[in-house]
Amino acid sequence: MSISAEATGIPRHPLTRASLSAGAVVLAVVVLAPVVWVLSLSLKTPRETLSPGMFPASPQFGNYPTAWVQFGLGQLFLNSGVITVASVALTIVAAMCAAYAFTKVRFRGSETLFSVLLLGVVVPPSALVVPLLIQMRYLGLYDTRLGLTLAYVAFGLPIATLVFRGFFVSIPHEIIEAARLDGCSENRILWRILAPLARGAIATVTILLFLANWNEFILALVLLRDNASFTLPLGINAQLGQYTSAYQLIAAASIIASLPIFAIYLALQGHFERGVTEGALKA
Amino acid sequence: MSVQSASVPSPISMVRRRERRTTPAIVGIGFVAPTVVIFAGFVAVPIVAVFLTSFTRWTGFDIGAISWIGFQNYADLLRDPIFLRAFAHTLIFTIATTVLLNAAGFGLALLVNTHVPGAHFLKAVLFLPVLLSPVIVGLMWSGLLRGVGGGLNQLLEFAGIIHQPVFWLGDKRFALAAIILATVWQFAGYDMILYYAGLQNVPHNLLEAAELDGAGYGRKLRHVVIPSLYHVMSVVVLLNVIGGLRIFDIVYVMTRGGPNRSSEVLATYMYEQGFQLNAMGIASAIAVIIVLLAVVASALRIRILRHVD
Amino acid sequence: MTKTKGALAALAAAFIGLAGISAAHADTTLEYWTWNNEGDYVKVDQAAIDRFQAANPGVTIKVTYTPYGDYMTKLKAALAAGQPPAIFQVPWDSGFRDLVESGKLAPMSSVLATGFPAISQSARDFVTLNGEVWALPLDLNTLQIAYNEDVFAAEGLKPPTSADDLKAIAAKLKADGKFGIALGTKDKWAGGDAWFAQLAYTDKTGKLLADADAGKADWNDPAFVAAGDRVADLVKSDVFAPGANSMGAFNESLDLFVSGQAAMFYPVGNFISGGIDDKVAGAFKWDLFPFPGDAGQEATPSGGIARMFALPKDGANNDLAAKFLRTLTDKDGEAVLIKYNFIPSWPVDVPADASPLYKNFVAAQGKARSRTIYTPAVNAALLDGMQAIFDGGSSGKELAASLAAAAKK
Repeated sequence: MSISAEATGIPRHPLTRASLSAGAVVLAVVVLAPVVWVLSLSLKTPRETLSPGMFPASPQFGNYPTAWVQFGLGQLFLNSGVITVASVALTIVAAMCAAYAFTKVRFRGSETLFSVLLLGVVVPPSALVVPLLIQMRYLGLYDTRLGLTLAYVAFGLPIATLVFRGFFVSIPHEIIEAARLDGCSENRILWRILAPLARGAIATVTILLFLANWNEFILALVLLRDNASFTLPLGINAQLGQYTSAYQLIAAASIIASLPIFAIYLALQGHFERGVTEGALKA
Repeated sequence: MSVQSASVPSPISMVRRRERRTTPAIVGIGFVAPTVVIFAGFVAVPIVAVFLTSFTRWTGFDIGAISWIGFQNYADLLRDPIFLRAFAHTLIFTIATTVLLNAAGFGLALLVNTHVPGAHFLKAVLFLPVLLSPVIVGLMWSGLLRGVGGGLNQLLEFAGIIHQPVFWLGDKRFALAAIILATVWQFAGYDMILYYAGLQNVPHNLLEAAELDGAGYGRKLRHVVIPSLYHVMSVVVLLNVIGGLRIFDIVYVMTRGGPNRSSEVLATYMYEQGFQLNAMGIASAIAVIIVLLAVVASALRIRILRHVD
Repeated sequence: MTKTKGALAALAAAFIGLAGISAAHADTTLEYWTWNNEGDYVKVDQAAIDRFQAANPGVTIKVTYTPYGDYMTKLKAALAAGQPPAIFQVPWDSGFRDLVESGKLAPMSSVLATGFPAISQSARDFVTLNGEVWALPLDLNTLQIAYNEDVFAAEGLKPPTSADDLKAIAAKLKADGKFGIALGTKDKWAGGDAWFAQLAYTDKTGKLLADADAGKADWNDPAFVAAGDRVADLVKSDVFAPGANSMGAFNESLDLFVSGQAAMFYPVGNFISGGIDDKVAGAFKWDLFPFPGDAGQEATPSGGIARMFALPKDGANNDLAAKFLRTLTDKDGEAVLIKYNFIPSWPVDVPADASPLYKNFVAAQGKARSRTIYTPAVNAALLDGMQAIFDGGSSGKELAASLAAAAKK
């Protein structure tokens, strides 16, 4: 398929190929083992979770509907979905505008501004929760899904702007010049001419941010207080009791919560890998 | 795959490309305004706030009750043995995961790149853990490493390797190593994908030239493949380092930093100081230190890259 | 064209969803925060909520559970954000003092003056700081060791009356491939309780802890050192199941007991007896004995307040919230507490038909010693030091020295 596969040499000797194949399969099994173990856990009875034995005597598929109802996964899915989709969409719109300005409009101080923005790539959100919380309070955004969404947007903007900027730099300036001569407004140039070209970059950013925001925990823990607006990681964590924990239900809920991402990944494997790669390599 | 290795901006350096200014600056400012406002509001201002509160004594409950104490928090931290251990653990964790992840990622990328049967299955499987929430990964590994009923002990007992349960997460010899293992398990696929992408961009003509010179697999790897992956490697290392410095969720879920602080890292200690002991000033000072370490790491990368180029 | 509009509409819809459905409601909702989402506490709460809502139409109690490990973070965020819940559980340990000193709690002495039972003086003292009462202590606990009666019978063992007995029992169990006391110190606090249990025997006065906490006694006192050494000795003698530091106090360690691999479990208070019963599910019989001291010493458990509740300073609904607290503590509330084996923090008549377990709890309660250190740094040093002792290779002297060092900060 790829010429450069030869870079590392497509092994020609059948024995080498066979042993490499075997190695790959063994490694895949090792990597999958923890996932399989959790799957098995999710099908056990409460007593089986305490005793040795890899697999349940008879799989308790009922754990899944039980976990769904008991953990209120429906509401959690809705909250995670709304917050993730809205934050990703907002980040993309804002970051595209910014990247456009940084590459195609240029103004004094734009480079300094971009450098400051990049600081956001290295700052861990957990370091900022308390001041963020107090700010949210005075903005009336504490315990609102809008507040958490805006926080996700803020933490997603640096990497998103970086990716879009990398893409816009590669677009010849002549295209924009020509459009401007035709009397196109800047807005129109960005959304009618560049955006359709940037589909790949948009996919990249979507995937990166979806992954980050869907799984985020610490900001959600501090900025949301009403369990009606909890996200999935928060809601599942809330089931850990001080006195006892139903491991089989937590396992089932964790699997349900991961399904959307698994599904998206399997459907868009190529996009997904390119998304992660481009996002990272432009950093 | 279009992985450009050309323009690599960073927090410190900037790409210095000039374009003709044809549009009034106000338009540009208008375009960056939403980004600037949101970023300033929810990231930049909190960064400044954390920096300022690191010089104060504050419980975090009330902004009114805050007192300026200069560098006292930093001085206290330098004399705090738990902080020093957390600092050392963070460095150990960061270095160990970076080395292991790069070795695993590069090796796996080479294997996947052979395209032997099973290689693409491995590639798909390796990426699954990357998708999981760290909280779920932490719970998963806590379960696997439980002393009684844990998957690893079950396996080892089945294989006859151990006869008494080993309490991996409760043993100061194993706790940090177990967290490193879980982290490597989760992110090896990520590094693999990046290296795999890099392998697709190894200049073909160089490889051909090497082959004409009669270079074998090892020599091609050393003289052509690895040098052309320097850029990718620098990105992967930086990502691993930044991720390592801020590691929190998985430690919090798996060990809470125990036993007796043997897996305490900077971020968990910061969390404890801020939320359990209500010492927000100290927590802020730790946060500033984490951020500074990350900035230093990305600055170092630029220097090293410049040197290599 | 239409695509853009569609996207905009979707975005707008998302925003409406985000703005939150905080639709105005004529009715009042009181938020009630607790970390106890397991065992019989849920039943006690629900019974009070049902009665309160029936008596107060238009008022709803909304319960929010947060795992103990995250509870203070969440409560602290809510207090700092100026949106505290109407009624909230507060921790019994050092976190309580910080909360009081934050000025975010409502003073309670005037509230407790009317319509509440006469809270016992020791419980009242527990929640009194700087001359004011800051919480309602709902119920009390004493911590004891649970043991598997079936295993004890099969091994020909009897509940121990001294630490040496306990060591002998552990040796017998070990010889038969069973663990002694399952105890989990991953979440740290239960390690502190192992120490408090010993302190009940090494401090004859019973006042040392409070004095040291108030700065009136030295943390290097021989009684503190001896308490640490006793735990270290028990650890060395395999009295505790291995891997204490890898287990949560009531998760993995309780599993060891429930699955029959460990014959004993500590710490058990009335607060968890329901949780243990649920998990054991009749697989074996179990009972309690106090942590034993030296031969001839009278059994003295450690204990304190199990659950205590505070109201926010100047909370808009504090009158209603107090009314709910009264529902928890009135005659019917008291009966529910007793029904589920909880010991109210005020004197009650134990019904003749109460379970032996409950009578055991109440009898133990009369002699209980405090298990609280208010100074956060000292408390943290104790919990770390106990992890070190459970890891082996630390001593009471080392522990006491770290307590003293922490007190100096």
